[in-house]
Amino acid sequence: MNYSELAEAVKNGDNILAVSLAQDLLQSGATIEVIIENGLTDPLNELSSKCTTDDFSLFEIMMAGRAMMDVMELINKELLEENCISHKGKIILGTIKGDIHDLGKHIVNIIFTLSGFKVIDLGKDIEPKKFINAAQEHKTPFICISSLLTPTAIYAREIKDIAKKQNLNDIIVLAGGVGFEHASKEYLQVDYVAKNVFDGLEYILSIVEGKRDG
Amino acid sequence: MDNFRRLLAMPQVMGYASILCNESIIKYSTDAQTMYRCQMEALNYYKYDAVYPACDHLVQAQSLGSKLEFNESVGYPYLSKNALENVHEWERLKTLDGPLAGRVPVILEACYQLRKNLDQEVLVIPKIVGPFTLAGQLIELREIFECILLKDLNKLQQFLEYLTDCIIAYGDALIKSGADVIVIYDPLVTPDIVPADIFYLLEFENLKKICTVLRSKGCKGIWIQFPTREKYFPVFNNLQPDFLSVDEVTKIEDNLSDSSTLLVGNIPPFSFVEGSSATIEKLSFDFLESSKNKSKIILGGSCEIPLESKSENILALVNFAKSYKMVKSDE
Repeated sequence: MNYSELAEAVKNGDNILAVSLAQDLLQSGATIEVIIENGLTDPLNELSSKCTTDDFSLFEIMMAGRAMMDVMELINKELLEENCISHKGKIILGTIKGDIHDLGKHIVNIIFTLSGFKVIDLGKDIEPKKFINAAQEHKTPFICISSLLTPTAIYAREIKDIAKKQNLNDIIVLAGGVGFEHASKEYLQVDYVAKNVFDGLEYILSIVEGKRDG
Repeated sequence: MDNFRRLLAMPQVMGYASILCNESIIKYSTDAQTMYRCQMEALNYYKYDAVYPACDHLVQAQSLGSKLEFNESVGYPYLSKNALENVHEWERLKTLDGPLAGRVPVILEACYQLRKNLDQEVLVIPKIVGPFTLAGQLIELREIFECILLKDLNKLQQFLEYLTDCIIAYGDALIKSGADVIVIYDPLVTPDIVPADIFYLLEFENLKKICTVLRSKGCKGIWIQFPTREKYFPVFNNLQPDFLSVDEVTKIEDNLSDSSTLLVGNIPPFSFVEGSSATIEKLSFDFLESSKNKSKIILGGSCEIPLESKSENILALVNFAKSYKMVKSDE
């Protein structure tokens, strides 16, 4: 079984080849778990390690992420759903009010979904209150806000305040994107400022897995 | 523009000038007289070496048809609707008002007033965005990426070439209005967003054309501003900017073939918000110390001074520059 070819196709963002290779693997009897482990997790980890050395671009992540999503779709939509909902938890995601850019958010959606989270994407230009409402509705503490624009920080700062006023003290707000990445968590009044999508993922995972206090 | 003996300070005080003057940021961004007055007052207060008839980075996108939201509580105007749904309809832009519409006359008038009323020692520096960044303000960046992913490059390249001509038309108007130096800001082609090969394929030649044509039209200085990663060193050598915003000075100095380029940097913008005067002084000192050729350094932020900055931090930067003693070997 040639999993390395699949991993290579995913890394290169060649979604058509990746789907075709995954199809071949399925037909030759490979199990879904092994395809995910060897064909998708490896390239995901490689992207993650590239992120830590700044040797990556949003474009490359989007390409690889899309190929991964296409393969996942082929494998089994239901399996993906089950894994997301029951294994890791839910994430409320959106671009904060004042910004209509959604590329970064789109990439966060892909990577978090592939990592086993159910992502509730609220869209772009989202009012702070809507993040809190969605967190309550979906019964999750995790809110991820993205922005390309620094001035939107004023809205980022509102989220925890709104949560506190409603006695929602377990809400965890993670900020990311070019507009926020150089700000401190104190300035944005959030719990964490992610350097990139994988840094944010690691933070959320560390809480989910109980390694860090929320 | 080289051979100066004192250390210049050129923090990019743009909309922050309106905060200093207790003026509405929206009025500053839409009214030439207000922009002019605020820039003059900020100059008189800080006594730095350049003024910036500039505000948000969406002036060009708005002139070409993108819709903006003007909300005082947010700060600068921000994008509310892209002009285009996809790259294939880019030619529709030709039927709209064109590159000198919208708030462009505001910038041109402020630029003209500043140049007319200031000593030649103070540079008047407006800012333009590069073609790829402008494209990303006219259309969802995802749509542009889709074109690249599908190798549907023909239309995209035509679109970018059209935007290059629009930028040149705007740049030319700025030069005629008295701009000494023009900053070309191109944040969407940084290595964080697109790989270097895409930059070279889609943006480099257009940037080169902009620099060449604007120089031929009388622009005294081109200032390139995007992160100075190693992959881009050949670009800087090729474009030969007169000013270059730098993140880290040592590597640039070792790799820059054009020794006349002035290096502007590098106080991280959020230091002006969260730091103290002492922080700014230390960052300035460290930056200067890391340079091998201090006569080529201009002190400033690595980007625009944020609207939430503390005024005393800008003052600290300028005062540091004024008190910094250039030793003879540096001059």
